[in-house]
Amino acid sequence: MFCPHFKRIKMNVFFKLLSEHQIIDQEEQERIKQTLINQPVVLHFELLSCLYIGILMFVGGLSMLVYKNIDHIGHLAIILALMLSCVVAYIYSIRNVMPYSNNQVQQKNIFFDYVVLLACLLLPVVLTYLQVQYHIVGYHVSLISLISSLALFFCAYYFDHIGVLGLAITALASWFGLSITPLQLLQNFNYDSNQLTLVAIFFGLLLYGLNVLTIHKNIKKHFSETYKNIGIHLFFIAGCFAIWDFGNWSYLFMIILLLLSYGLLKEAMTNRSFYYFAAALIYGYFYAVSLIIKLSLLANFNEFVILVLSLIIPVIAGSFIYLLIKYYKLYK
Amino acid sequence: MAYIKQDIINYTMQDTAKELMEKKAINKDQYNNIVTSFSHDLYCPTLFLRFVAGIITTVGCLFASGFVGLLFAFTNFRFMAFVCGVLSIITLELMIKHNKIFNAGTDNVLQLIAVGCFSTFFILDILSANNAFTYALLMLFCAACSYRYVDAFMALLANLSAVMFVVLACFASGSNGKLIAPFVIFLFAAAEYYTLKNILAKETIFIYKKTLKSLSTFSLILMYASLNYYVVCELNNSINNTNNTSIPMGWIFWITTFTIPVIYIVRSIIMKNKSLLLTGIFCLVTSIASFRYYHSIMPPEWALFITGILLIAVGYSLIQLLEQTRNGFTSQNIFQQTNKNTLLESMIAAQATASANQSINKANSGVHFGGGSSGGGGATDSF
Repeated sequence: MFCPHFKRIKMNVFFKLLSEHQIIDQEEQERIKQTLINQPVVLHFELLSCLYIGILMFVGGLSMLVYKNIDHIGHLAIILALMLSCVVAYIYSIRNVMPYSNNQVQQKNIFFDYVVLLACLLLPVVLTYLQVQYHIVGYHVSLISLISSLALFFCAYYFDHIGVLGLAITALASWFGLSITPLQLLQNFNYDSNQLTLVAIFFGLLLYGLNVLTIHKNIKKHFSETYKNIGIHLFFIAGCFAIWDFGNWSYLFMIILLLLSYGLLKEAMTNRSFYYFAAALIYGYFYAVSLIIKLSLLANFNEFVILVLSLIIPVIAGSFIYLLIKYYKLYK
Repeated sequence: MAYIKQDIINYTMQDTAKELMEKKAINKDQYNNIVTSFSHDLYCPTLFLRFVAGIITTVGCLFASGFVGLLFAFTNFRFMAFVCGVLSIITLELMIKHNKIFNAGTDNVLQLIAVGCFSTFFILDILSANNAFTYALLMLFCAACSYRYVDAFMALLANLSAVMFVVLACFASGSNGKLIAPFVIFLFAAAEYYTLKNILAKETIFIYKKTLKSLSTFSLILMYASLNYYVVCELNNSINNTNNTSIPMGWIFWITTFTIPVIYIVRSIIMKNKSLLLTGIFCLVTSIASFRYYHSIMPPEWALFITGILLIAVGYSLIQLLEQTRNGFTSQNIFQQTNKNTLLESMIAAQATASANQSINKANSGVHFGGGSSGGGGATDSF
């Protein structure tokens, strides 16, 4: 049984101040307190996170099992179980999916999203395994990424699942030779991979284009945010490396990137999106600091240059924070 | 306090009202009424903006400290640290006075830098890092910061320094002190928890409510950690420079490692307290991890696989079980909150499966793989 007296409402000061300002009268306050006491503890997202972490651990453990037992006899059983669970998850998803629509679809069952996620996490594992063991597409290994990416894109649209869309985008990126998973993103770029930097810039632009196209054609409009988010960050992070990699061309890059981050800032201000506003500011700050350091490197590196740097950069930091505060207060 | 008191009171009022609105206890009109009657002009932005401001401030301060370094020609580090600390406090005070920043990233970073600088100043010359007195000073400084800038994180740091002070004081009192140190810290944390609970119940300190709440959660974790086997054993090793996996009377600590989380969870179910429940689960997971550290009963892939299945089963059955409210708990989304982290979740999923897929690729040693990888299977960049 639910025993209400265990729940104490510790808001006396809050209610006292409300009475003083005559905002909420005594009767209403009693009603609010009763509502709070009778409310159950909501564990909705906690339990869904439990499911989610469980699925991740299950798939992770399963793929490690396949890897460790790939030369053993027991491995056939594991791979059969893997394929079977993938197929079962897909059958469940297809039988329970709501009909396709270009708008956002509300699925009737809260487990649906998680079964789809499980199926779509298992699919690349199965495909990769089949390729390694039986060479289903011959020796064109990269094709597997393209195939799983296309399959995942189809699933994302068919089942209306933003999480799967994210998986599909990372798979497509890996076909381009890019790792865009958070921990590996920075490992992509180093001083002798100019080509990869260009690919990342191109891929970021492609994703931004998809965002515009999604909004323009009105197909699954709620996906546009995902395209835009990944695209913009990929583009500007690749930009951070481009400004150091391309000799004298990098000055051109730097100016273009500064202009683009200014553009993003303007767009964020018209859309009142503080997220992109902050992103534009931080990339802009990085480019501005890089420009100053690069210019000062042209001069002979001496104590005077360090002195100038250590004076200018804090001033820039201060002005950026000033901008942040000013526009936040203006647009809030 | 560095702020006008009324501003902080109004901020706390708005914050509480927002919480009530999310719980559907007051409606939108009542919320708007409260916001207009208790208006303030503090600058306290969203989490992401705080993060960005924090990074920009950190970079700026790094170069500014370079400037200070140049003034002293990088010779007198102790004095340099002191000057940097004073400068960051002055900047902080000026920014609060003119821009009214409150929990805005910049002020948090500046406080941290001040603490870091002043502790460097003390440790480098006057006292050593292992001196209990250092931590007493640090505690006073952090507590003062927490009071002046109404900052919860500084309060946590003060609490941590207080614990270090107690630990070092115990060690200084000889071999018996070393033996009873875990229990002393446990008692310290328990006393702290019950004091804080009383203060929170009486609501004598309205504006520091958030700070006290985070302190009380921290003291719960501290109570658990002080008697956790891993913590006790590793601390013991680091003091004595040994590498033992067992400690005298280890069984006591194994019992406490597993009973404390269970007590938390049971108590949270009786009290209908969500934060206590989450703390209990966090402690339980830590206990299992510490057990696995010393007694590994199965290889990691099987552990992952089986835990995954267990978690799915538990999540699924609890969602089904709590569909109707039972014992004051429900799995229904009755406040109609939306999940804003779908993209983050999918990125974590991609990260988690990427390494798994890479390992399958590597299993076929005949072909060399490299380059990109993702949740969509490993791929090469040499196409």
